[in-house]
Amino acid sequence: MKKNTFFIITMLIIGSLWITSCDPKSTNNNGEDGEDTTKTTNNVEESDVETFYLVPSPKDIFGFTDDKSLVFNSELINPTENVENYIDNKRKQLNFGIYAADLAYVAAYEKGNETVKYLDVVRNLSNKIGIGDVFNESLTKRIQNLTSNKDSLIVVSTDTYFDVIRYLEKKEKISTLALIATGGWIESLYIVVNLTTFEERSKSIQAIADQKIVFFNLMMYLEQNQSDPNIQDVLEQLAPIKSIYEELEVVNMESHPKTDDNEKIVIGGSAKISISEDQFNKLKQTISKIRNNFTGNSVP
Amino acid sequence: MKKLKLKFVLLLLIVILPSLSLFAQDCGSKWKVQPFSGWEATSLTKIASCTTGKTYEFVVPFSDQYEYYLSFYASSSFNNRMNFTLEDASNGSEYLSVPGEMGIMDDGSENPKGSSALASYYDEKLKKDIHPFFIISPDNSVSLKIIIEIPDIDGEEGKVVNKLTSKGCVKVLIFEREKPTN
Repeated sequence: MKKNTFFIITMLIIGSLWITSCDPKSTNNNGEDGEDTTKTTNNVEESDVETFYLVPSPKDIFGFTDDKSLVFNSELINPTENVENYIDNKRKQLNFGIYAADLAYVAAYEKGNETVKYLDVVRNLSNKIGIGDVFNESLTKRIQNLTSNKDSLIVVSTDTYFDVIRYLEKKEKISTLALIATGGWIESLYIVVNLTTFEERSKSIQAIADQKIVFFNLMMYLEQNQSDPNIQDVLEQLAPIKSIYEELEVVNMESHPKTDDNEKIVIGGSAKISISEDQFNKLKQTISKIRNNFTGNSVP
Repeated sequence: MKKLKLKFVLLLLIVILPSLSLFAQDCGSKWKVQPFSGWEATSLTKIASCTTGKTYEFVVPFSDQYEYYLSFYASSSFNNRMNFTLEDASNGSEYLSVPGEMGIMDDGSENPKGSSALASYYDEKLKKDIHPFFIISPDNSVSLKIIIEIPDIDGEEGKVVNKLTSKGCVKVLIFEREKPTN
């Protein structure tokens, strides 16, 4: 019996050492606080290049809501009552992103009551997808002390989103993060395309065309994680948007950096994306259909 | 027999708990930098766990409506031996290429502003050391690729099967601000 126990324990030690030293995906086995270790390892075959695709927050997508033609429309946001309808994890995670975008939208338009309401629904949903720890005492206190001051509404809603992102990255919940980013992007664009009337060369229309760059980053990020069936499913749902963005004409320009007097590196973008009225209407229709499919709302 | 079982459970806990705590360590809490006046935090900031001998690419969509503050941090285990390149993701045009540390230049200055990505430089106006940063202002929305190459550590000669590797964290810090209107 003693011999058996010794054997089992020895195997467990070897097993645990093997797990912590050989998992190429693990970001956690680098000493205290992820810091500074040097060791000799077996020369195993691994890709020499690792790529990360970064996706901006909904707040950045709403960055041009100062455009006077864009107004607040409460019919465009997902009603908070819908939160009870999301049973499966995929819909909970997608709609977490959708509500996070709605939160950024109501905060940007200084809607104090709605901001508190949407912060509550985001907190409620965070418990259901296992990230309730994000809402620690300090964040909860900040939410409770919210005033109708525009800056504090935006700052608290943005900080909440960043805290969620940081938490998910720390816990390596990559699929959850990808679905939240997808929900956030689709809702932000759904709101913007439905607030915008087509006008060639307008700031808003150009920003919608430029979302092609963000969308392809999002698609690459999802494709990196497509072994997850939920992500595979979402990739298929997003395919019609991909087709539309692929059709947009890209005017290539010579790209070269120059440094201005303030020592900024001014980058002459290599391409300008243009969108026609037909393409815009097609995009608007497709985005609305996919978004309403995610939220379970009927197509208006 | 009961005592033996208890000992077995205790030993199991001793073996399993340390390995779980190793999994719980991460890069997430490193280099907390608050946005400076006029700049805002973004979700584009990324911390990654990195290893020598590998290249890390960060594909970042930059909007023409913002200016971006770009700064890098890396664990001391890498000794600033890294290369940082910023290029256009669509055509590979290079905008910036700097080492982690430049060292002392011919004129005696150490890591002058803009020459390196990690080593601080002395700012004559502010009279203090400043961590390097770059301000990027895109004329059009653009997808940029930040490439961080971490070379191999030189191992002992003749060892082909095993190589010396070093692990640590790298942070790509990105703040933004709306472009000033002309």
